Amino acid sequence: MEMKQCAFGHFYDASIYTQCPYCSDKTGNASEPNVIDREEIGPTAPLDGTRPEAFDNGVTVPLDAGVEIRPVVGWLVCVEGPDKGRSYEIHNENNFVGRSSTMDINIQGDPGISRDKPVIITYDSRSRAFFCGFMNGRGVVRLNDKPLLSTTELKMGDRIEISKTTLMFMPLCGEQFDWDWDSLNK
Amino acid sequence: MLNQNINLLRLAEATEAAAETAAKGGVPAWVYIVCGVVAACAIAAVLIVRANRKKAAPARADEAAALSQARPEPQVERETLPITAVGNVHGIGSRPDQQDAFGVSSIANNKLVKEKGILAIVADGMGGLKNSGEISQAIVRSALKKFSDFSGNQRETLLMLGANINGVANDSFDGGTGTTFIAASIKDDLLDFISIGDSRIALCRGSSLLTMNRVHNYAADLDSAAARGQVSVASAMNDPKRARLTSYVGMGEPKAVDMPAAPIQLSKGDRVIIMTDGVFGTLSDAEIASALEASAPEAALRLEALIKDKKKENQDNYTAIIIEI
Repeated sequence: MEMKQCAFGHFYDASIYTQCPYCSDKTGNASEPNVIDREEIGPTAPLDGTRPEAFDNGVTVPLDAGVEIRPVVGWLVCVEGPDKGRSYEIHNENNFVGRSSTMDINIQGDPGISRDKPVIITYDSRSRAFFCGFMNGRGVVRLNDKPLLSTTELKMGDRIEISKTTLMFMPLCGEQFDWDWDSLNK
Repeated sequence: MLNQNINLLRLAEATEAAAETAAKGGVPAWVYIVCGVVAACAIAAVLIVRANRKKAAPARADEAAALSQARPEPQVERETLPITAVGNVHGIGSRPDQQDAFGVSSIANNKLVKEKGILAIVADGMGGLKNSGEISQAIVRSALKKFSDFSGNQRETLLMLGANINGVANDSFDGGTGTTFIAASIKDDLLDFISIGDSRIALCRGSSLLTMNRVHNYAADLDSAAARGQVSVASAMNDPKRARLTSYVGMGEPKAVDMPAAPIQLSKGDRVIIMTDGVFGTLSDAEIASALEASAPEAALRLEALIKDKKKENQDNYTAIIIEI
């Protein structure tokens, strides 16, 4: 073995190669390219909605790849409880509330809140109205002090109580304003 | 096994111990006073450094010069451990493009080795984004070119290289692309590195392989959320986004940068390996360590043979640089 260093900082065996094998072609693999058909491994870039589900096909991808900006339609503000002072964005359509970080509205500080969607908040752009409903869990969820059991329309200032946390509802969208959803979805 | 940065672990243990002591309420008042004084000094020092930085803001090179003049390095005679051999492995795997890039500063340039030591860098362009092969090449070339230009000590040089790499990634490519990188420098008997993304640097001492950086991917976030009970273990393990990066260059301001708490003391016989996930995603630590028993160029051949033996469907681009002390 006769190791040499090329101008671009690669080491190679000069008894085998007359010039740096890593610089000599664009793929950087002059010895055995071992390339299989693109078809076999599916699309590599750019990733969009059609990307393969399992672990991004092994391609190195940023965490927020393919995530579009979802326009905010309103907020829940924590007015009582461990997360007092925090606000949570409500987006179009269904928003699941819970303690798990996979929830759309993720309230981390209150261990009494069920991890998996105890409550759903929905913005319906057709009627420009907000609704909340009880999903599951043992604890009683209260809307303005009354147990929340069926789907109820939300009005500004309504208070949702889950475990030790109270969330106040503040709409952005409604009769006065709404996003132009058709142009956003293009 | 030992997949954590030792320094960070020690720091964490020390912090926990301190927190426990505080919780027991057994801390005498003078401790608080001493802590207060230390904190005040630290704040003053930070303010002074900031003020100096503001003065030197127009040029980063001036900044380094100002810093090194302001704080003359203690004249400790450090042992110079010669670099015995360097090896590298670089393959395309079963991908259509090579998006990894790598390079080592000249080890034949005695003046450079004496003044700055050597720099080794690997970069893994993000296949899910465009221009990923070009960006990894560009930052490697820029880092090797700039390595000799930057003044300042080992750490300052690495910090400036990091800032330069980030600048190249953001300025030369107008968004939508990205790369990981690890730049490691060895000067005298000290190893220092800077890492962004999910590439890996490990120290092989004897027959054990010790990973020295934390990777910036969603898996790390998910695992820690699962340990804290915020998500279930099953959902953390099965999340399809596990492998996605939470920090990389090209994203504007990288969300996380990894460096050791202090440069790492090397011993004769150590081997340092920096590699992309095509290597450690296919080979176990034990397999990598076994390959590193050989001299660096031979170890590189062994790594390549081990990867090819796996005949892994969808084998990622693989790149590693091995430096033998």
